[in-house]
Amino acid sequence: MGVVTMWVVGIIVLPLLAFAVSVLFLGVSRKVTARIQRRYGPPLYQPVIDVVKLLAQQENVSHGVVFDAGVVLALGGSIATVLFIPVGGLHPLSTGGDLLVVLYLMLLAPLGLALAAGAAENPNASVGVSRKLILALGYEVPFLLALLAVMVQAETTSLVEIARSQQASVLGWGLFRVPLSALAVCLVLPAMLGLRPFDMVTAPQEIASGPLVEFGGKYLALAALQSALHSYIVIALFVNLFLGGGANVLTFLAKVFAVFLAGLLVNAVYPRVRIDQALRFCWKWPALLALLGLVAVMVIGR
Amino acid sequence: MDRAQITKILKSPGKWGQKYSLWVVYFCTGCGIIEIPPVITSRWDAERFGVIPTATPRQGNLFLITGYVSLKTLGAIIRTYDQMLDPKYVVGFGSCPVNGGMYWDSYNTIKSLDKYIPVDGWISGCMPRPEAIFIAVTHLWTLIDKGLADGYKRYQDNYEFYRENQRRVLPHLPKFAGEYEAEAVTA
Amino acid sequence: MRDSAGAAVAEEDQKRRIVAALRECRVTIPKQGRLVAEVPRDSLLTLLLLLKADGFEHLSMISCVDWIDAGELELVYHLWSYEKKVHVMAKTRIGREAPRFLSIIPIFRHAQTYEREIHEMFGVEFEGNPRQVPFLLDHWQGPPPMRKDFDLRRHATETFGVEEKAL
Repeated sequence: MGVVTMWVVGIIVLPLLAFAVSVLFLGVSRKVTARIQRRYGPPLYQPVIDVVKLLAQQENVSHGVVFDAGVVLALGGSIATVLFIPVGGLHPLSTGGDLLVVLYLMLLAPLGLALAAGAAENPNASVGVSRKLILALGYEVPFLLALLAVMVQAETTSLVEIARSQQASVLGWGLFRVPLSALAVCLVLPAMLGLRPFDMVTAPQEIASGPLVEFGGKYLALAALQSALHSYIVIALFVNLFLGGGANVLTFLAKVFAVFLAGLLVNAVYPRVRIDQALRFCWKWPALLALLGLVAVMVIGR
Repeated sequence: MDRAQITKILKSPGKWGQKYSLWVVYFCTGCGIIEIPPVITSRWDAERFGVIPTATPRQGNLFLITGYVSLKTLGAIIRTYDQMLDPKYVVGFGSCPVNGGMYWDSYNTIKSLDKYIPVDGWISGCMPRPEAIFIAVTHLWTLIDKGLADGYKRYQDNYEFYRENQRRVLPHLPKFAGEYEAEAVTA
Repeated sequence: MRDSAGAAVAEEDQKRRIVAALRECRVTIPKQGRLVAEVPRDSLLTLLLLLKADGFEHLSMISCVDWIDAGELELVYHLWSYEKKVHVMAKTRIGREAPRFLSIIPIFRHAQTYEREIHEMFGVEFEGNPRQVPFLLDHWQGPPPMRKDFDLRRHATETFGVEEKAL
C-alpha cells in the first residue's frame, strides 16, 4: 500500500512541481531580461496573470478537431515526459530504458504543435513549422551522439542510474567524465530551448509568431504552458545527464535554475540567426565535438 | 450572498487577468505608431503594466488605433478587429481618430472612429506623449473594473449600425463579415 | 557648387549647356544648388536625356501643379546630380482637359510609380506606362481629388457625415 501511495503521490506531484517551476522560470526570465535591458520589467507572477487572462477569454477560435487535438497532444505529451524525468529522489515511473522513453515522448510535443499549426491554414504557421523541423534536424544530431556517449559511459539506459552514478563527487559529473559530449550539448542547448540565437521558430517580427499565429485564448494558454514545460524538460534532462542530477529536490532545482539562468543571459544579448545558419552551425562544431566525445568514450575507457 | 455577488466573485480572476495583461496588437495604423516603440522598450517600459506587443490579432486584446485612418487602413482595421478574441478593447490614440484631427477635411480619412468600430477610450494629442499611454492604460483598468469597457458587446449588439457605416465609406464590403468575396488586388 | 571666387560654377555651366542645346528652354537659378528649366511639352524628353547624360542621373520625384486659371497642368521632374550637388526642376505645361503625356519610363524606370500617383490624383494619362491602376485611394469613384476644382469640404461632409452622432 505504501509503495502504491508513493507511486500515486509521485505521479501527481511531479507534474505539479514541473508546472510551478516552469511558470516561475517564465516570470524570472522576463524580470531578468528586463533588468539586463536596464528597465524594471513585469512582476514575477506576470505569467500567471497572462495564463489566467488567456483562460478567461470569452471567445476561442478553433480551426477544427485536428487543431484542438494537436494542442492537447502537445501539452499531454509534455506532461507525460515530465513523469519520466527523475527529480532528486522522485522517480515514480522509472524503469530500465527510461532515457529512450523520454526521447520518444519528447517528440510528441512538436508533433502536436505541428498538427495544430497545419490545421490553422496560415502560411506563417507553415513557415514556422518548417523552421522548427529543420532546427530539430540540426540539434538532434549532436544531441543523440552525446546521449550515446553518456549511455556507453554509464553502461545503462536508465536515467535514474545515470544520475545516481554521478553523485559520488563533483568530479563524477558527466560534465567531467564525458566533457566533449557535454560541451556539444551546451552549444545546442539554446536551440533545444528555443532561445536566442536560435529563436527563429516563433519569430514575432518575421513570421508573426510562427506556429502560434492562430492560437488565442485557451489554446495559447495551453501552448504557453507547454513551451514552459518543454524548457523545464530539456534543462532537467541536461542536469540529470551531465550535472549529476540531485541528491534531493532542492539541489536538483538549484542546478536547473543555474542552467536556466545561463541560457537566459545568452538569450538577452544575442541576435537571431537564420535557419540555414543554425543548421550549418549545429552540424559543424557541436556534431564534431559529440562525435569525438563518443569515439573517446568507446576507445579510451569507461 | 445573492447570485450577483457570487458571479462577481467568480468573474474577478478573469477581470484581474484582463486588466494586468493587456496585449497590444502591433498593427501600425498611422503616423502615431512612432510613439509606441519608445513606450514598449527600455525607456518608458510598458511591460511593467503587463502591456506587451503581439504579432498577431489572435493573441492581442488591446487595439491601439494610432494616427489617421485612411479608407484602405479602415478595411484592414475592421478585418483585424474581427479576428481579435473577446473581450477586446480599442483605444483611439491621437486626434485623428477623435475628430479627424489635422485631416478633418481630407477626402480619404475618416473623421470619427467611433462610427466604424466601437472605441473604449480616447487619447487626444498630436502625438500624445508616452506618459499619456500609461494614463490611458490605467484608466482602462478602472473601466474594466466597473464593467464599462464593453465595446465588444456594443459591436455585437449593434452590428447592423456599424456595418452600415462601414459600408457607406467602403462600398465593396459584403453585408456580413463572414462573406468576404475575393477582391481584385489593385495595389 | 561654388568656386574660390564664390560664383555658382556648376549651375552657370549647366545653364549654358542647356540653353546652347535647346533654344526654347528658359533656365533660371533661384539659389545656390538649384536650377529651374522650363520647356514646351515637345522638348521635355530631350531636356531629360541631356540632363541625364550630364550627370543628373537621380530622378527624385515627379510632381504636378494645377494652374486652374491658366487652364494648364504643370509637370515638374526633380533631378539630382551626385557629383555636382545640384537639383534641377524640369517643368513643362500640358492642357487641363483630358491631359496626356509621354511616360519617361524608358529614361528612368522608377518613374512608373510617380506617374501612377499623378494619374490617380490629377487624371493625367501617361502613354507607355503599363501600370496606371489605383494606388493610394480605395475604390475611388469621384473626380481626381488633387485638382483645384474638386470640392474637398463638400466631399468630406457628404462621405463621412461629420454632423452625424455616433453611438
